Amino acid sequence: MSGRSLPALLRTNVLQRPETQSVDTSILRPVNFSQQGCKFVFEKKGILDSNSHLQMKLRVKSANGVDVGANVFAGYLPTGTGALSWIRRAFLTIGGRRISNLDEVGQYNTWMRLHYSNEYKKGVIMPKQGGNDIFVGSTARGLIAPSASSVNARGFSAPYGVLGREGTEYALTEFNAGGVDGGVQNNTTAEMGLSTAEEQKIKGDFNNCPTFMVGLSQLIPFMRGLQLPLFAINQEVALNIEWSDDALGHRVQNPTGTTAPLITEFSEPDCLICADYLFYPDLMEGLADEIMNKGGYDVPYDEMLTQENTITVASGGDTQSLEFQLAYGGKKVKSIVIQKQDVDGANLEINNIGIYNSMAYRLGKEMQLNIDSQNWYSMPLKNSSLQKSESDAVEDGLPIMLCDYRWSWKSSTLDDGSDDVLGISDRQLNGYDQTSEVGTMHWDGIKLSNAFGQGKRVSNLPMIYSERLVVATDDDGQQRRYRFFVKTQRVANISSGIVNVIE
Amino acid sequence: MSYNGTTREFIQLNATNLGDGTFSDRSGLNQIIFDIPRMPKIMNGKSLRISGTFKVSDGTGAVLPLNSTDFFASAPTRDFYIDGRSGIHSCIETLTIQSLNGATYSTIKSYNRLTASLLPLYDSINTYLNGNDSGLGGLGKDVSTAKKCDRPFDFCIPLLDGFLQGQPVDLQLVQGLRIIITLANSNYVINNNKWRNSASNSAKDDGGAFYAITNVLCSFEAECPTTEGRRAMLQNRNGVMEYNTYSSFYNVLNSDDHNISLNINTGRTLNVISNIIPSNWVSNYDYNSQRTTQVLTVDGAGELKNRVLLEELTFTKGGMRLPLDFEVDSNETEGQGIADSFANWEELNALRDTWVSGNFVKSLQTELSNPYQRIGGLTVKQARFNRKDKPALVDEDKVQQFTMGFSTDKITDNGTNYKGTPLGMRIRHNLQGKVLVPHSLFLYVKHKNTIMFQNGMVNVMN
Repeated sequence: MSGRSLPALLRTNVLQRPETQSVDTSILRPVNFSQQGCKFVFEKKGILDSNSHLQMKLRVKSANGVDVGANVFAGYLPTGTGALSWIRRAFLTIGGRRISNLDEVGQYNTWMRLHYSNEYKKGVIMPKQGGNDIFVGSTARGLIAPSASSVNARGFSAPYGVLGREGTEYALTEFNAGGVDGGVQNNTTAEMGLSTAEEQKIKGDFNNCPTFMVGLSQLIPFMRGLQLPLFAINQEVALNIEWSDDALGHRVQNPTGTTAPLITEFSEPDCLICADYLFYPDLMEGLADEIMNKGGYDVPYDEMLTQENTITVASGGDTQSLEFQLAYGGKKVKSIVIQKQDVDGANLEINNIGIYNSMAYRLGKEMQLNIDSQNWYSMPLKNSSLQKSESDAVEDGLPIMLCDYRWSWKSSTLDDGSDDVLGISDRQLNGYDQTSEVGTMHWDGIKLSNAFGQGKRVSNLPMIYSERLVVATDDDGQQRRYRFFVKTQRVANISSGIVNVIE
Repeated sequence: MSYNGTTREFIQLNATNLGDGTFSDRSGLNQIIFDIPRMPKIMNGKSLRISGTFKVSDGTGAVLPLNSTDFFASAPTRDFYIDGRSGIHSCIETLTIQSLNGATYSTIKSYNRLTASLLPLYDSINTYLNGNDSGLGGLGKDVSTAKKCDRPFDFCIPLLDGFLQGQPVDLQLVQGLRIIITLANSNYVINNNKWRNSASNSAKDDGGAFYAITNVLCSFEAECPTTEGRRAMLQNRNGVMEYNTYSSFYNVLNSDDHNISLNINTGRTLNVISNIIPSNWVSNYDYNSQRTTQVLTVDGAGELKNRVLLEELTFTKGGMRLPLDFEVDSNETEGQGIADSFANWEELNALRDTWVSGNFVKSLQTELSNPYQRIGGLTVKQARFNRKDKPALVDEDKVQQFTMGFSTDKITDNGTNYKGTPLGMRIRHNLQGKVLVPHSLFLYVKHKNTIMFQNGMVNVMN
C-alpha cells in the first residue's frame, strides 16, 4: 500500500485549476466477438475516461433463422432496463487477473436506473440506452359515451387517478355531439394504446435497428469515479463482456402479434467502444514518475458481490419466515440490495419489463438483518414506505424515483391481498396491459456504511437477512429468486506499471 | 474525536403516548409524542422520518372513499380525499421540538400551511408521481391523490424543521429530544370534490369524514462513536448549536389596502414567506384548506373564483422599505396573464437558495395541461375557471401556487435584526368594485437560533 490517495487527475471530480488538456476519442473494436460475448483490449495511452461508452446493436430473427421482415417491429427493450439488458456479465482484467466484476449487469442496472431523475431519463438515458419507465397521471383505456360527466372525465371511463406511461390525455368523446366543436378528438379504445418510440423499435434488418450506448462505469464498478491511467499500466487492460441469454425477456420483449419464439443476433460491425483518452501534457510526466518510481497510488473502489437463493412461497394464509446467510467474513460491507425476482414458471418474464423485476409480496413483509448476533434494526422494518426510505439511503442518499404503485401492492389490493382497483393504468404498451407492472420494482436496500462512507467490517459469522410475511392467496406457492448485491470496499494499488488488489 | 470509527445505527421509536395505536382528531389521540432518549450518539436529523399508515373514512368510520369511480360521478357518495401537494404534511397543525428537560428549541404553528408553500416549489409533477407519492402520500394531481385515498396507505415523511434539517444533532448535549406533533382537524385535512363537481357533498355526511393514523414510528439514523468517543460525549456539558427555524404568524385581510405591523422580534431573520386562502375555505370540507391562492372575489354565481390583481406589495422594517426599496409591482403582467418573472424570482428567492423554474405549477402546466379548446371551429384559450367545456381535466390541477415573501440576506446568511423594529407589509389589491371577503394570511419568519449549553443549562437565543 502506497498510502497515497488518488490525485485529482485520476478522479472524476472537477480539477482545482485549469490544466492543458486534450481528448482523443478512438473507436475501439473487439479483439474477439461472438454471439456469446466479446472482449476489448485498451491501448496503452493516455487516461481512460470512465464516461467512455460501449455501442451495441442487435436485430430480431425468427427461431428457425428466417427473417421476420426488414422493417417489421419485432422487439423492444425491457422498459426498466434498456440496452443494459443485453449484457449478463462484464469484468475488467489487468494483466490477465480479474480486477473488477459485475454479475447480472441488467438486473443491477435496473436498480441503479431507479435512481435517475425523470428529467435525466427523458433527456439522456432513454435516447442513449432506450427503455420507457416514466409514469405520469394517466387514465383507463375505456371510453364512455358523451355526457356531462364524460367531459369532466375527458371521456375516459373509470378507474380515475391511475398512473401509466405518457400517452394522449385528450381522447375525449365529443360533449356536444354533432355540435360546432368538431375539432375535439373522438378516439377509439385501440387508439388509446401506446407503442415504443419509433427510434427504439428493434426490427428484422440491422439497417433498420437502432444502436444503443452504455457507459463503462455502468458495467465496471471499478471505473466509477476513476479515470484509469492506461499510459502507466504495463499490463494488458481488457474489458470482457458476456451477452445475456437469448430468450424472451432477457434481451428484448416482443410486441403482441409477433410469432414467438424469436431469436436475436448482435451486429459485429456495430459493437465498439467510443474510448475517450485524456492527455495532460504538463502533468503526465510527473504522474508517470509517481506511479513508476515512487510507490504509485492506492485506488479505493467498490466491488459488487452477488449471491442468489431460491425460495417457494408458502400457502395462502400461512405465515412464512425466510432466512438467508450472507457470508462475507472480513469484508467491509457498505450496503446490501435485495432483489426478489419472480421466477414462477420456466423463464418467467413480465410483460414490458421482462425478467428485470423484483416482485413485492401483496401483503408486504417485515425485514431484518442480523450481524454478529445483533439486529441491525431495533425493530423489523414493516412499513413499506419506511422500507423505501431505507432503500433511498443506499446510493449516497439518492432517492429512488419510482411510483408507489410499482413499489408495493398495498394501495392496489384489499385486506386479503386480492386485487382491488389497481393503481397502474390498463392502457396497453405494445399490446400489453400496464397493470401487470404493479409491485414489480420492490428492491430493498440496507445501508451499512457510516456518515463518512466507511463500510462495516463483518466477522466470520455470516450476516443473516430475514423476512417474515403473511402469504396472500395470490402469492401462494410462487417461486422467487432472491438476489443479493453486496457492495464491499476494496483497494487496488497502481505502482511500477502493475495493478494489484491489496484488500 | 475521529469519526471514521463510528458505526451507523438505525433507530426506531414508538410514540410515547401510544394508547391503542390510533391517532386522529376523531377516533384517537390528536397529539403524537416521540421521546428520543439522551444518549451519546449523533443524530442525522435529515434522515428522521415519521412513518405510519394513513386511512381516510366516511363519518361512520366504516366506509372508505371510492374516488376511482366516484370522482366524476353525477351523484357521488364516496368522493373525498386530501391535498395532493403536501400529502400527510397537511395533518400536522403544530410541530414542536423540545429537550426532554422541557427547553423548547422550535415550535412551528400552522406547519401544514408552511409545507403548502415549501413543497410544491421544490418538486416537479414528475417527482410527485414518481417517488414523492410513496413517502408523502400526495401525488400532486387531485385525481391521482384521490385514487390513493381509496385504500389505507403507508407513508414516511421527514419533518421540515431547520433544527433537524441543519447540522447533525448531538443527542447527549441537547438532552434528548421530545417531538410533539399536534394533528389538524379532519375538516382541514379532508375535502370533497366540490371544486369541480357541485354535486359532491359526501365528506360532510354522518358527522364528517375523518382520518386516522396507525402504526406510527419515528426513525432516524445515528452515528455511534467508539467507546472513547462516547465517553467524551458523555463528559461534554458545553457547546453551541446553531440552526434555522420558522416562527409563524396569522393575520386576516379585510381591505384592499391592507397594512400589517408585526413584532417578529427575531435577531437574525433570513426570510419571510406568506400565503393566502379565503378564510371560509379553512377547515371546510367543501374546500382544500391547503390551497395557496391569490385573493379571490365572487363570480356571477357567487363562487370565489375571480382572481384579484395584486397591485402593490411593500415590505418594511421599522417603517423603512427593506429589504426591497421598491414595490413588487406585478399588475401589468398579471393582467396580461403572462409569466411574471420578477415577482416569481422574489417569491422563490425567499424559499430556497437558487431559482429553478422547474417548480410544481410550471411543470404541471408544461407537462400536461391543454389550456385551449375549440369553439365554433376556432382554437381559443379557456377561461381560467371554465369547467364545462374543458377538454383537459389536468388543467384543473393548475390551482395557484401563490406565495409572497422576501429574503433578507443571501450573502452572509446571518440575517437582519428585527428586534425592536417591527416587520411591516402593505398589500394593495384592485378589487374592481367587488367585495372582499376575509382572507387568511399565514406568515412565516425563517430565522437563526443559537442554543448555548453551559454546564447542563440550555439557553436558546434567536
